Amino acid sequence: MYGVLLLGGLRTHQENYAPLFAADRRSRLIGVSDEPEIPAERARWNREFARQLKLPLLEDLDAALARPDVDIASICVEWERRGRLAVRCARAGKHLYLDKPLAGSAGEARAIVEAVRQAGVRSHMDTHIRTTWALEARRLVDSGRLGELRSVHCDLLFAKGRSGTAPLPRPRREHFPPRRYTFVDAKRELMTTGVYSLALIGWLTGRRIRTVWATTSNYFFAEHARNDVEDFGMMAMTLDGGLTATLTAGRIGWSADPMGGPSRVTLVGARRSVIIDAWQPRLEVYAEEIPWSPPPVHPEDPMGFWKSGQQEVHTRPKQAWIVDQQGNLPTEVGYFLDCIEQGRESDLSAARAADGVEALMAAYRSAATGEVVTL
Amino acid sequence: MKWIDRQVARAVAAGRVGTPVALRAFLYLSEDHGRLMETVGAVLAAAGGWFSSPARRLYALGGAAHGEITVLAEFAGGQTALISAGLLRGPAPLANILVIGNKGTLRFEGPAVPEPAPPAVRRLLSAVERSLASGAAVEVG
Repeated sequence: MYGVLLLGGLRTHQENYAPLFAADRRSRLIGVSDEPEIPAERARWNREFARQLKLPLLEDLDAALARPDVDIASICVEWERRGRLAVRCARAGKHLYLDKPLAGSAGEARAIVEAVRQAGVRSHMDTHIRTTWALEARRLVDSGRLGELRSVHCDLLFAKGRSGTAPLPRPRREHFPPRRYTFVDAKRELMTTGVYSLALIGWLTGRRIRTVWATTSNYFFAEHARNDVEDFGMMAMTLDGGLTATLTAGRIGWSADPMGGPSRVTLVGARRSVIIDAWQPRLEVYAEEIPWSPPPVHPEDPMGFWKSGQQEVHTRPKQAWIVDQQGNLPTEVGYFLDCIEQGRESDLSAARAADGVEALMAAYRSAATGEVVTL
Repeated sequence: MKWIDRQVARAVAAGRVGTPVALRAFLYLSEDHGRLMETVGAVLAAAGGWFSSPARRLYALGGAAHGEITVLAEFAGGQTALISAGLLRGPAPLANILVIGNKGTLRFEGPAVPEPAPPAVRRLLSAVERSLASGAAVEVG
């Protein structure tokens, strides 16, 4: 059985990953740990997470990583700290389950890749690639029914947060390199949501991105504008072999979608083009029920980033559409455990995920300069 | 396309989605390579109307030979649009349009009939052609 050390607690995606490791018969949770010099708020959230899961809080990270019963590090700390922590875990010989995005810079991403290579451990970044709709897209591409693949277009927009507060019109002035990514009340949303689409584009095509032109914007939230981070972005790219790709990414507000937000991939082939929607197939329900309404604003989670924050303000689930995006498929955690057991590389290893970070950095450079950036 | 243009303009004017800020559009309307440019141009022009703001700068990908033209455009008021016009490769012409406002979204998915681009689109098409030829982002001028 694989022992899992959780790095980062409440108000991170560890809230999603830890229960999946706990539920898989091949793994068990060992404890919650983190770096020693973290903000008091982060320490409190880690402590509370350990308490809720009835796990020990392992305050000495080196000692935690030296434990022989720890095989996997699930890393969900803030993006700004991810690179150095992942390197440390890999050097300790632990397999890495990595939250997205992989790191806050291309240099840090490359350092993770190198540490993983030298340590000979397995790595995987969590995204959407094991969902039913992503796998359907992959099957279609592999089947050849589309003919030669010409273009891939991805849209992923999160319908969360109270929108309509950003000052308009005010074209955004982007900076490069990005100075900071995460705040309690805002995140860089091109990176937050674009990372999924870049992973999907790389996985579907097997091609590397060569050029990027991108825009970043502040359309929806005063919080993002105040913190000088974008809430929306678009990218247009060329890939090896003449393929083209685009993506839209962002957070567009609770009321902008009947469910979680537009999520789809459009595949353009020489013979056929298809739009694969993550919200299809679906059963739609219209009934005499109390209409869904946005939750109260949580002061520690106003954008609805985290499951815990939304539970604390009693956010009702949107139920207009009934969809099963996972079906009977293994979860991404299950897929990663398969990779470790079978001694094979993940489809979205740190090396593949690092390509996405490089593309995102090119996007920020492009948005700052207005130029097409060559990778 | 005229019907879609009119209905979106009405919904925007009524303030139903707040201020329109972005557009994502897919148009697979015709098997004729020669119509891709004018389809892109017509939607760019429509977007300018919905945003009440002209396209300022754009970057184009693909081309008629590629079977699809994609344009990412910035408008003078900071709005953005990502428009792809491709060859009809399905059973029927398809338009998929997502207009994003700062307080909601407008969506259309269904059949649409391509129409000739209005003469005012010439300036936009010229910019698309320059971007495709140079591989660079260009000012609309």
